[in-house]
Amino acid sequence: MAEGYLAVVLHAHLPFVRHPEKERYLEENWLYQAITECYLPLIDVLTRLVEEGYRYKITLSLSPPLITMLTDGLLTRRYVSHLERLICLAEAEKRRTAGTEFFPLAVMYEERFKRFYQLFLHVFQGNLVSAFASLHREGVLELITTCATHGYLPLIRNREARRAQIVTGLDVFRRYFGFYPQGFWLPECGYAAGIDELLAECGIKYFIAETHGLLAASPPPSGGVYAPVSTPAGVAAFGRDPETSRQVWDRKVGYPGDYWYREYYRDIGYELPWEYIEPFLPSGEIRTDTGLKYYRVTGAEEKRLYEPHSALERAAAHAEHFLYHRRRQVAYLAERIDAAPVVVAPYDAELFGHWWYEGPQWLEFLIRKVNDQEVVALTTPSEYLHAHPPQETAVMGLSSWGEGGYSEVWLNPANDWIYQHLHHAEGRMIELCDLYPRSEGTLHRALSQAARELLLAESSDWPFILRVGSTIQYATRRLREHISRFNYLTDRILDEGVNEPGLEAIEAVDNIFPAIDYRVYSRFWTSAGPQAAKPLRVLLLTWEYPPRIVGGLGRHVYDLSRALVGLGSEVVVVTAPVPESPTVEDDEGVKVYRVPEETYGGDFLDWVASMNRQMFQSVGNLLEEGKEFDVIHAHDWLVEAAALKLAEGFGLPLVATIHATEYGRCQGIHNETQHRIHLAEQRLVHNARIVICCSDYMKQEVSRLFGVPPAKIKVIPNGVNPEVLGVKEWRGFAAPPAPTVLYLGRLVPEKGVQDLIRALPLIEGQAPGVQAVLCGQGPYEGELRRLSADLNLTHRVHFTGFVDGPIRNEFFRQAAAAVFPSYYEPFGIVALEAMAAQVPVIVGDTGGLSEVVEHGIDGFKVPPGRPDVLARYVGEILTNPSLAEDLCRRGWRKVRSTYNWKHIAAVTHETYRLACG
Amino acid sequence: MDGVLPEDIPPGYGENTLVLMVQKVAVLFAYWEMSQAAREFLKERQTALRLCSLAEGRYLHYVTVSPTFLTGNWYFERVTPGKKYRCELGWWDNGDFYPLMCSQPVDVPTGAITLRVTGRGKRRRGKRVTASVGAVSTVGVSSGVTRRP
Repeated sequence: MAEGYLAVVLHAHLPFVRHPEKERYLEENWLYQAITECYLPLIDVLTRLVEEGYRYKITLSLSPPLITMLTDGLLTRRYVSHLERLICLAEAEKRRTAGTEFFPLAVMYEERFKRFYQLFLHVFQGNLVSAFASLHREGVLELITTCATHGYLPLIRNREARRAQIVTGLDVFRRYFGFYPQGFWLPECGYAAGIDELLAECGIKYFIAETHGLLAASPPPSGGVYAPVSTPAGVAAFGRDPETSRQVWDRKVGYPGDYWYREYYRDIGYELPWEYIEPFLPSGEIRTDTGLKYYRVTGAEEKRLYEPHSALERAAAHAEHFLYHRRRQVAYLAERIDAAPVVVAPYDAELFGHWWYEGPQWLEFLIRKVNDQEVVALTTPSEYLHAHPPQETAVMGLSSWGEGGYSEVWLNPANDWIYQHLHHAEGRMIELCDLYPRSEGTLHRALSQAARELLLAESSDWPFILRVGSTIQYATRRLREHISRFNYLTDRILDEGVNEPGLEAIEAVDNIFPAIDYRVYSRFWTSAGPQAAKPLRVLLLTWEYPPRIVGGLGRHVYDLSRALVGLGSEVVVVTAPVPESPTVEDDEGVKVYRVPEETYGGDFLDWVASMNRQMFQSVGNLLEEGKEFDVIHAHDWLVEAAALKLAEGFGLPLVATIHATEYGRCQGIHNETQHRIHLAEQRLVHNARIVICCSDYMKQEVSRLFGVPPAKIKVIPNGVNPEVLGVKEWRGFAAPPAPTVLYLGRLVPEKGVQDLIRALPLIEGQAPGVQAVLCGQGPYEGELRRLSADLNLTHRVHFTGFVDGPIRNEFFRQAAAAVFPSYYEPFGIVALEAMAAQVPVIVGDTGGLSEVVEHGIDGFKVPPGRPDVLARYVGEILTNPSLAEDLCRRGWRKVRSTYNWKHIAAVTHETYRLACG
Repeated sequence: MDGVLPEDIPPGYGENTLVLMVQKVAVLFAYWEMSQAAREFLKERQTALRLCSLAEGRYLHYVTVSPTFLTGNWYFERVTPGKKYRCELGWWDNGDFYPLMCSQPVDVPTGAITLRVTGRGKRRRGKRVTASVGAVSTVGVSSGVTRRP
């Protein structure tokens, strides 16, 4: 039984480089060099060990671009030609060096290249991916993968774009290997808060983080980097061990710098006469590495001849040295930490064989030697996790294994210009996804290709190259190409005129990921994929439903029910009685049952209890008549009793939406009634399988107030249907003749209408004649009227009472601005309605409103309780029509994409499915 | 366009944007762009870029700069590790600052790590040190073959 473990993790990646336009292309050489010097030698070593009966465990990450290139017909053919040229070169070298001390090395290279030629063509049939798969099946290699194009996640701005990198990468891996990996390699070990959630969504069990990523976690792990921790999303994080890194990587003291190892820089590509070497160079234009090198590192003096035997002895000695230190390390750690320690040693695969020629041999020696002792055993992170699940949870922040430990390598004056373009493209791709959740033909191809271009532009290799200054021209060109192609395609999609020959030309050149699903960029993507399964039968319980409209709840359920019917669901709404409304109604496919009214004496809570009894009865009757439901969806505390009784009594899964809490509405619980409501809310959220909230703000509030774990709460925003506002398309902005400021909503203190009234005299200075129109009713109306009178504003402040439908739409049309200066606002659907009505919005920077409006982008947000600040922004909107138009335009776009009911219904339906289990 | 692939990228996209990014422990990077309307709006006003840190639930001014707004980006140095920041681009009026655009907030890493392995339930606690175990100086890290060290 080992005292501890060593997890060697090799990460193999090359940027996607494929240039069919030229027969020989310089940068394609990166692939050919890597195959010859790294991948083939590694496969050779690992296969030999298996054949000799060694059972070992190594983890290998293969990046999707690398997988794609290794299985590409054109590149495979070109590689074979490359090898043939190398063999010719080695033969020429044999002739040239005959009789000199270099001759044995020339022979060595000739034999090596011929051997690899055999291996590649005849043993592996030109398919190295299947060679890796074979080793995986033998149980000696755990295969994982990384982001689609090795995008550096912390600098990718949007969650959806990060997810697209992860999901597309996983899909490529599955396509080639037939399964999803357990682990995920984060490019550059780049981690930032929230990435673990994305990995968890995809079923990933672990990732590797940089050393200080774990050590700076909160709370600091008691096992340092020698035991994994769990992140809040439940994914295990393993930390890189600095010792094993230093021994191998370090420029000064690392093994590769040993004087007997092969010197990297003295390549004949740079040293021999041009006429001789030129036919063997990849582009025939500049000198590059050929892979034939004759010298050893030697040290500070002049380079001496490479002696393969001595180098091999050094590799064996270094493997011994490495193992010796692992044994000591593990013995030391095993005494100090509780679980068996795991030393995680991640390396770039290309180190082995390319930078460090003897690397594969070192690895071979190491595996053999580990086999001969019992203190340290080789393992993979999966295997380790299986036996030793993480014992601690920690929150990790930004970290990477790049120089400096954070993001400096990929964000600095040499490459910072790219992010304006990449982020803009991200936003555009996400928006297009939501505008076109379904597409076919040319449009589908254009959207898919746009996704490819964005992924290719996001490759971390380009900013890396710009920073280190190696092939700057090439990297810059690739960035410009992908960004410009993305813009070209998406400009045309938005103008609804995709140019087919243009599209074809781009598809031919950037043909990575043929099966890409562009919808992975959608805000509404779920791991279950597109809605393929049967729609569910839904029971919606709500006290508020048209014609009873008090706040946003009724409208929400109304729109949701219709959108669900649009998806094909059967929807039944059971709701409170409304005088003069039918007790049974088919409302555009939605079956509405209004329970009978009971007459009794009692307070509001008694009435609610009575309504719940009636609801239970009604649903019971429906069930007896043969109606069936798959899920109950309850809205707010008012239907709690019925919901719980029905869920328990009939064994139905319960989903609850909390639109607002009593605590939030009343800024605390101050009396018995509020307390009872609070308890009803608590019972509802605890008994629901999933809780839905409309904003992150509400999610946090509900989690905090009722102790609900965040994982149980799903954030689904409210939707808005522009047609309800009488709007079908962008109308074109025209500043209304009079400076009218509109408020719509209940007249209660937490809506902040008093601040709007107080702001009017200040707005008057900028916009003379400004009027406020207050549409709504509520208990605070009297107070507001008094305030208005006290400030001499009765001629400027107009109370219209409750308005809806066409009258409301007309008020929107006449409004120059819509103001919602709330103090407490779980969502703020009226702000969305204003955006849909193409009216500029100014809102209180609070709650859900904060999430709906982006300051300066599609509206303005002001601190609640500051009429002076409110006045300033309202005044600017009223006096700057171009600015107002900007905000309206962006607001309109947002409403059409993010808050589209079709999507929201789809995500809600998916949530029902999750609740059903 | 037939046959000729696009290669030009525009200088900007004409929309209001303000993004704040973390470069490393003590350095933040902001970039912005303004729409035509926003540029017109700010033309006659005294404009500035502010970095604000979150303290007690409110964003408080940390540093103000007045870059040439044509440049469109800025590195904020010497920011405090462990804090949350957001950037604001706006104008001054009578001593008050009004943001026209606000970036999303970002969290600056603490940069402080505990080096010692302590084990659970053991009395000795590791010492907190304010240095990061930086990436080891490398022969060829990431994109290995594409870099000549």
